[in-house]
Amino acid sequence: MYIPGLYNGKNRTFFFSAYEALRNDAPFRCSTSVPTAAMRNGDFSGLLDNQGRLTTIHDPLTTDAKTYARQPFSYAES
Amino acid sequence: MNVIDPSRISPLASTSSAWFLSQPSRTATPLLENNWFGAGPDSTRDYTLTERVDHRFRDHDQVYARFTYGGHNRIWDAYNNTVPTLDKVANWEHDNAVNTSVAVNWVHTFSPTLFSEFSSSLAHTWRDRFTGDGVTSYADTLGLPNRLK
Repeated sequence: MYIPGLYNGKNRTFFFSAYEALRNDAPFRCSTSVPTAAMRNGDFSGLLDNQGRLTTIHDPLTTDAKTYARQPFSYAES
Repeated sequence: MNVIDPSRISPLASTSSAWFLSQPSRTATPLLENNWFGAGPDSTRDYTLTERVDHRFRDHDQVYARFTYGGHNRIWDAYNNTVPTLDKVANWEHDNAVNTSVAVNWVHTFSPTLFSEFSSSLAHTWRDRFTGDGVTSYADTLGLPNRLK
């Protein structure tokens, strides 16, 4: 190691430096279901099963204390 | 029919879905088919820096000192095969590690057939694994009770 005007370490001082890096991007394939824009706004009228039938969602606040039956959501936009 | 009164939709549900849930990437009935396809994140960054100085005090005494600093950062979706969140924070898991070590070594030569060696090293590892950004209080942001406070 030799630094002009500062240090003369010829044949006495040695300097070693190493840097290594790994960059690994391995995204995975993803397929899933997310709510549609209508569903996010509460509109589940497009929630159909494989027979094209509507899958009804029920209002938990209408649960009958005896039968535990609930009423379907039936909000109608005015 | 099958429509929820908008006034009854939880502000938390509205906020959180707009905050980090992607819109469908294709038209499909969610009950029947997947309506979102894409790539989930998994990125790793590793690095190591090493510095070493050797010095020969005399022909009989040689010394070296080494310093090594290594880092590991990985970010990925904590739940594979879930839709990556829009804010790139929720559900994203971080694994950060830093490894630092120093070593010194001294060799003293008595004769061509006899020498002694002193070697000493010290290493420190720090690791942090978390979800979110590690700073934000999501309970506060979403207005949820936080038992840790």
